[in-house]
Amino acid sequence: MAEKKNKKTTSKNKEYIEFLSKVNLFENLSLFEKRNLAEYFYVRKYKAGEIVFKKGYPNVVFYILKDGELKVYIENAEIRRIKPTEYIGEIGLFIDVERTASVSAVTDSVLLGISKKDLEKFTLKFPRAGEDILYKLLKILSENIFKMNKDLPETDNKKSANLLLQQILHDGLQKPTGKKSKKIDNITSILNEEIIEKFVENDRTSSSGNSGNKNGEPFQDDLLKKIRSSLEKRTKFNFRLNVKVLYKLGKILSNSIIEMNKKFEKQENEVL
Amino acid sequence: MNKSKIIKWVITIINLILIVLAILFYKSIFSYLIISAVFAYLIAPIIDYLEIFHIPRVVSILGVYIIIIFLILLLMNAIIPVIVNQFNGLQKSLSHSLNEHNELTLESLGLGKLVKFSKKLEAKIPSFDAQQTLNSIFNDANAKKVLNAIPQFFKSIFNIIAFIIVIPVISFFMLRDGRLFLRIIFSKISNRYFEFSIHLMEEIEKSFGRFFRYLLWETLLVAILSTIGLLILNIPYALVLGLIVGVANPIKYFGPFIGAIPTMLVILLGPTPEIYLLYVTIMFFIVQQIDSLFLFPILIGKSMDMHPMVVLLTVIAGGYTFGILGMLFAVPLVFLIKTIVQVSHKSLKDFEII
Repeated sequence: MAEKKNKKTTSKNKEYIEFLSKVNLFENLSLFEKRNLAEYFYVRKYKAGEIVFKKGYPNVVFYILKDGELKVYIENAEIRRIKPTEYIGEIGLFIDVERTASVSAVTDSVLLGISKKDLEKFTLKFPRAGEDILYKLLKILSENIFKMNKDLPETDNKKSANLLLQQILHDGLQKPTGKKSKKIDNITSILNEEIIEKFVENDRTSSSGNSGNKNGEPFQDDLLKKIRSSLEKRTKFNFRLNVKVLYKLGKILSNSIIEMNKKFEKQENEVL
Repeated sequence: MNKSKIIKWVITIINLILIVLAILFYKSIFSYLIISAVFAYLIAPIIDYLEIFHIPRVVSILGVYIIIIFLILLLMNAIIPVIVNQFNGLQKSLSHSLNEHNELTLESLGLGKLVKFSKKLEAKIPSFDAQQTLNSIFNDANAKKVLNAIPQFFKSIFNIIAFIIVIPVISFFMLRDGRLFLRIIFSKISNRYFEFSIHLMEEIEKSFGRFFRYLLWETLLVAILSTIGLLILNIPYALVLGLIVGVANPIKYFGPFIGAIPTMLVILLGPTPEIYLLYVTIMFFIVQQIDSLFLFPILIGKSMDMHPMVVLLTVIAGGYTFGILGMLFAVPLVFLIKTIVQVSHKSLKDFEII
């Protein structure tokens, strides 16, 4: 009985492993790592209209959409759609926050869910793969911050927003985050300074007309490159340490996103 | 509408009855499952770690098993004889002084070798009461009782063999297919409760895992420290006495006293000068302080916030209901239940289920 089930799941596993290769987070993983990762995923099936989670729920599971379509919304106002191989819940991977929006299935959908604890376990178990995954997640986070910056109206508000972002990124370092480790803290603070610098630089160039750097690369790619090279210089390819630093950096960025959201919600309310 | 409701109720009741029947049927192997789970839980980090080096789980589990068997054999040859000797000596000196008129035992019958054998067997396989069984066979003039004792003897042997074979096998499957089992269990949970149950499981694992690890480390460390202290003070049977102190230590409040009793008896009844009672007390006190000042804050911190009075009452109640084992397990059990209730209440609210 057990063996039968085992065989069934392994043949199904192949399908999921193939699917994981298509997800950009996991495209660089080796087959062994993918096979291992696939063991952590829960397969969830949702009918059209079914709610996956609501705003305010604890953020414990990171989902990747395999088939179907999802809708992200806050109080009936749709924000965006999610297509297969896209994912939801990346901020929750770094910090303990409530869900910032609700998600429901538009059509019958299949989701692969992984508990954020399991993903952290995986990244520390396979730090080389973990580092790759985390860089990609950080890229998304900085993209979010970048967009937030851009979407603000071109007024005094924007300037204050940039200052605010810098302030929040600064504050992120002072906040105690879990276990204490001087080495990780030091490296994180250096990287954080570099991120802030990059944002300031970007504001200067974008005010003069063109976003991105001289090579025409998008801003967040440039940022990530810088973080990567600076991290490699400092940790000398200690991947486990890299993973820990990147997690901490992710924490700061995620916190910043959440706090920016909060502050702007307040400001908008005041204007209204 | 009504009909389908009735059918639903009937199915639910049948399901409940089946679950109760299953629990009754599998009642006797629950202890096996629990011990296997504990065993698997302890080994799991090693197996997970070895996966980094692309070692398949089956291979690493078997490898760890072989190492454990090797270590056990080593222990049996190196340390167990010492413990057996100390135990024998301890028992002899205690029983000598406690009751002058000896009962009819195997030794007085001149079967000392049999005693030694049974004691060795006992020491190697705890929970095995060979000597008592043997004693009862020889002691009872009543033939009926002898006949009764024989099946019991075989039953206990059967239990031990089942124990030795079954536990590693169950643990093996738990270790190899743990994630698969989890996935099968979670696939049965409806979408509404999926995130909730993941959250619940992780929260319980977090707080109870920490507590459990603390208990293990505490036992080990207190046993080692006490043994070292006793060796320094040159008390006889240091190894056994230190072990007893360590094992009794997790019993809150009473443990240190219970664990110290044998040591005190050894000093009182043996040739050791009585002033050593004071030295030993000071030594145990220091060990306790190390435990509560360093080990507890590092490993547990504030996670176990049970009021001292509740802990005290729990230990006493456990002792009244289940004896010394009750004292040992009452606090962890109550803590587990409390964690489950607390965490599930909070998560149920967070997920808007209640």
